[in-house]
Amino acid sequence: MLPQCAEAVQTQPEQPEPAARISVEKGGLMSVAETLESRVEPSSEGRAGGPRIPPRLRRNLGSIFWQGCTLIAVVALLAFLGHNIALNLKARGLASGFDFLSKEAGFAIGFSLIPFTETDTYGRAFIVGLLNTIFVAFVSMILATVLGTIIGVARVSKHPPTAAAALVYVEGLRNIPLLLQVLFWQQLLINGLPGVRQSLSFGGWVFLNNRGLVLPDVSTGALPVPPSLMAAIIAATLIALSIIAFRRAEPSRRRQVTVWGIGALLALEVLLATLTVDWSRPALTGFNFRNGVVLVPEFVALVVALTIYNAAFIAEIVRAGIESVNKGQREAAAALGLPPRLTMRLIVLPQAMRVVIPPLANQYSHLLKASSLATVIGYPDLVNVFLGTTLNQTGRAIEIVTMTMAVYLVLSALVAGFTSWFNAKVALVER
Amino acid sequence: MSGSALVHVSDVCKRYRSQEVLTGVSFQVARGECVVLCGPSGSGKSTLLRCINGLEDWNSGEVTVDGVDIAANAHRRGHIGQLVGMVFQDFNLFPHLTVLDNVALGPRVLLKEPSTKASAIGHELLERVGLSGHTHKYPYELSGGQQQRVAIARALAMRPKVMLFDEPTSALDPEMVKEVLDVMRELAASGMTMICVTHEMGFARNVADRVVFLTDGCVCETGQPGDFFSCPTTPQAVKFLSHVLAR
Amino acid sequence: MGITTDSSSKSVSPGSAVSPLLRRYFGTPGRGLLSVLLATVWAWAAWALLRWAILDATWIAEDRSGCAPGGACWAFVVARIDQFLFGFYPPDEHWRPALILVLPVVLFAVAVSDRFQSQRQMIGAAIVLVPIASLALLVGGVPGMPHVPADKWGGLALTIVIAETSFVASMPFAVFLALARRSQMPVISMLATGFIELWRGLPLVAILFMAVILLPLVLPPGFQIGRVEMAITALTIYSAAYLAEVVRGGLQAVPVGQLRAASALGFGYWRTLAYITLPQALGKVLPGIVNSAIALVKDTSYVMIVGLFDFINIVTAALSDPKWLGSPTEAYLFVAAVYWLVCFGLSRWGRSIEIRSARARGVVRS
Repeated sequence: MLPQCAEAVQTQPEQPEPAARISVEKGGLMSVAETLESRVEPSSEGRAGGPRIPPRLRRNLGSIFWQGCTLIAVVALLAFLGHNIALNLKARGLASGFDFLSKEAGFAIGFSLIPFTETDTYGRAFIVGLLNTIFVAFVSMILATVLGTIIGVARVSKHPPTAAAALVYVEGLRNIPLLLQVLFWQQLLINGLPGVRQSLSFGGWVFLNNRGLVLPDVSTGALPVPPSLMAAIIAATLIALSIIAFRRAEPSRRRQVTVWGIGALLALEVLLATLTVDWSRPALTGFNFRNGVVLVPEFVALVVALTIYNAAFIAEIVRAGIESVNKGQREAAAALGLPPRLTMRLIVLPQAMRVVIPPLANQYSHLLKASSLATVIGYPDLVNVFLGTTLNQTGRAIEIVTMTMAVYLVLSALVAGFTSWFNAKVALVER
Repeated sequence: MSGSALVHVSDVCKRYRSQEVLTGVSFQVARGECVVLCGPSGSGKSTLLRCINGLEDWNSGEVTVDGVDIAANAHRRGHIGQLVGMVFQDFNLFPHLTVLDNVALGPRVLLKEPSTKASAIGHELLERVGLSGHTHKYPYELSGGQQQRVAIARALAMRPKVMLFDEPTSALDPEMVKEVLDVMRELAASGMTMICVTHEMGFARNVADRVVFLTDGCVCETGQPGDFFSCPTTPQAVKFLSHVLAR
Repeated sequence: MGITTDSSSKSVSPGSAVSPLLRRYFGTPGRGLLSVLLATVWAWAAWALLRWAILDATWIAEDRSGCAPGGACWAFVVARIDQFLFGFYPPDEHWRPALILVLPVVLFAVAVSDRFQSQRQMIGAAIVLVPIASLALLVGGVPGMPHVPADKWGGLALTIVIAETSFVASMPFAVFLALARRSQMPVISMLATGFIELWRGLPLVAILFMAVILLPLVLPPGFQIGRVEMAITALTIYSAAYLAEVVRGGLQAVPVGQLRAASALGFGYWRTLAYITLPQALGKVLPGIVNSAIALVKDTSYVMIVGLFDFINIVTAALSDPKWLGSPTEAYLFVAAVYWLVCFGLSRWGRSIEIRSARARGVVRS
C-alpha cells in the first residue's frame, strides 16, 4: 500500500504556479516543470486541494519510507539468521556464553611471547594469539618498509642495471600469491636448512637451523621484563620524547632538534642496556641450544614471505611518491648546488611522503590481515589459536567469531588512525 | 672588457635530438654588469641560461664563470651552486620547508655553516627582499611575488658570483611584477652580476647595462639599452621590438 | 624556451668522446663497479638458472631417485600434471576441465585483440557467460556430461572456476554497495558503509573460517551447503567489499555537471544511472577493477582453508607422496609460473587500458 501512496503524493502538485502550469500544459516539458517545482518555496504549496505537503517534506517522506523499509528488511534478515543460529545451536547441543574464557585450555602453544602452559585458560590463549599476530605483523611491517623503500628508490635509478633488478623484483614477486610464497619459505626452511648440530653460525651469536633462528637472549634475572617488552618501552619513550621536542622547537630548527634528541636518547638507552643487560650467547648442548631465544621456522618463514611480498608493493608506492615530486624541485635543488644524493634525501623523499603515506597505510593494514596466513603453516597467531583450536575444543562459534572480528577491526582502525594522525602531524605541508 | 669578464660564453652549440637549439652563441659578461637576454620565444634564451649553470649539457663550445670551466665541473653541483645562482620562472620553492629553511638550507648543508649562522643569513636576506615578517610561513601561504622574492633570497644565500633570472616575472600576476623587479633593480644597483631573461622591456631599458638579442640560437645583436631600443640595427630586432613594444 | 620539455637535467660534460650510454654505466668509479658487479650477478644467476631448470633437469622419471642431482626434477610435475590441472576428475571427462582452462585464455585473447575492440557488449556478455559455462561444465548432469560430485573437483580448473564465479558475482553486488554508500539517505549509506568496512577490515583467512563455521549455523536447519559454495560465498563478499570502493571512486569522479545535464534532459535516477553515471564511472576505474581481479585470482589460493584441493593445495598434498619426497621447489615453481603468467598478463592488460583511456582523454581535450 505505502509505495502507491508515495507515488500519488509525488504526482500531485502540477497546479500551483501559473508559469509551471503553462509548461505542463504544453507537455513534453514535464521535467522543467518538475525542476521548477522542486525549487518553489513551501508557502506556495497546496492551493489546489490534495494533501498539503511541502515538497521538501514530501521528498523527505519518500526517503524516510525507503530507509525504513531497508532497516526493517535488514533487521528481519538478522532476526532470521539469529533464529536459525539459535535452532542450529540447540539441535547440536552447543552451549553459549563467554565463561569458557576462564576455563583451562588443555593445549600447548609452540611459540609464545608470554609464558603459556596447558593448564592456562582459553582467555590467556587468546592473549597469546593476539600478541603473536601483532608481533609477526609488526616485525614484517618494519622490514618490508625498509626493503620496499630501498627497492623503490632503486626503481627510479638512472643506472639501468639497478633499475632493471628492482623491476624484476617487483613484477616477479607481486604476481605470485602470498600463500604460495609462505609455503615455499616454510618448505625451504624445514627441508633446506641443516639440523641443529650443523647449524649455520653468524659470528657465534646468531644460529640458523631447521628448528628456527636462534638469537642471543638477555640473561634471565638480569631484567624483570622480556626483551621484546623492553624494546617496546624503549621505542615508545623515544617516539614520545622526540614528538615533544619536535613540537616545542622553533620550526626551522625542528629537524635538528629531532636528530639530536633521538641521538642522545639512543646513546642513553644503549648505555643503560649494556650496563644492566647481560647478553647471553646461545650455546649448543646436546641436541638443542641453551641461553638463546628461538624464533620458530614458521615465524621466520612468515616474516620472510610477508616482508618480501609486501616490499614489492611498498616499492611501487615509494616509486609513485618519488615520481609525484615536481621536476622543478630537482632542478631547483641542482641549481642551488645539492648533489643527487642530498637532493633525494632533503628535497624529494620528504615531499614524496605526502603521497606515500595513505597507500602505505593501506598496505600495512593488508599486511596485518595477511599475517593470518600463519594458520596455514602452523604459526600460532590469533586465527590459528583462537578461531581454530579454541573453537574446535569449545564450540562457542558466535562468541569466538565475534571476538576475533572485533580484534581485527580494532587493529585495522588503529593502523588507519595512527597513519592519518602521522599524516596530519608530519606530512601536512601542502602546496 | 673581455679581460675583466666574469662569464665567458664562447661558440656554444646545442642540439636536442635533430633540432638545433643553440648555434654558436658567444658573449661575455663583465663583473658587476647586468645583462638582459631577450628574443622571440624559441630563440634558446632559457637553454643558454641553463647551460651557464650546468643544468643542461651542450655539444660544443665553452662556458667559464670566474675562470671555472662549467662543463668540466658540471657534476660538482656544490661548486657550481656557489658560483652561479638561479631564479626560476615558477619559483620552485621547496614546499615542505619554511621560508627561512628554504633560504638557510644551502648555507647549512652546502656551505657547512652552523645552524644559527645559517638562520642569521636567512633572516638577513629575507629582510633584504622585504619578507622579514614571513620567515616561519610555508611557501603555499605566500603570494606569487613573495615566493619569487624568497627564491631570489634562496639563490643569494649561496653567495654566488653571478645571478641568472629565467623569466622571473612571467608566472606572476601583473600587480606582483613590480615588487620582484624592485628587488632585482636593488640587486643590480648593489653591484651583483646578473643575466636576466625577461620580457619586461622597462626593466631592460632602465636597469640593464647591456641588451643581448638572441634569434634562432645565436646572438643577433648586442648593445646599450638606449641604442638597442631607439635604433636597432638588424631587421629581426626591429621586428621583435615592434611586437614587444606594441603591447 | 621551446626546449623546456627537454627532460635531461643531468649534468654531464659536453663534447667528450664518451657516449651518454657509457657514461650512464661508468660515469663514476662507484657506478662502474656497481655495473660490473650487477652484470656479474645477473649473468651468474641466469646461467645457474638455465643449467638447473633446463640443461641438467630431468623430465621423465619413475620417482625422485630417478632424477639427476643438481638439476630440476620436473618429472614430478610431469607425472602429476593431470592431477594438478584437473583434480580428481574422472579421466574420461577430462575434456571438461580442459575446456575450462582454455575458455578464459580465448576470452582474454579476444579482449586484447584490436579487432574486437569495438564489440564491447559482446566482450561484456562473454565475461559473464564464461564463468557460468565453466561452472556448468564442472557440475555436469546433462546427457553427454554426467554429474561429477564436488569432492572430485580440484586443481587449476577448480581455482579458475572459483575465481571467475566469485568475480562475476561480486561485480553487481559491488555496484549496488557503492551506490548505497553514496546514497543521500543516511540509513542506507550507513548500512552500506558498515557492511563494506566490516569485510574490508577482516582477513580473508578469518572470513573463510567464518564461512565454514557460521554458514551452516545461519542457514535454516536441514539446509546443506558444500565447501565450494562456502568458498565462493566468502570470496564474493570479500571481493565485493573491495570492488565497491573501487566503483565508488569512479562514481565520485563523474562530474556533477553530467548529472545536471541528464536531469535537464528528463532522465530519472535509474536512467541517469544506467546511461550516464555507471558507464562513465566503470570506464574510469577499469584499471582498478582489473587490479581487484588480479588480487582475487591470488586470493583464490586461500580456499585451502575450507579444505578444497585448489591448485596450490593439491600440489602441496602431492609433496607428501613418498615416491617424490624432496621436490617442493620444482612443484611450487610450476605453480608460481602459472599464477605469474595469469596475473602479469592481466596487469599488462590493465595497464594498456589505462594508457589507451589516457590517450583517448588527451584526444578529447585537444
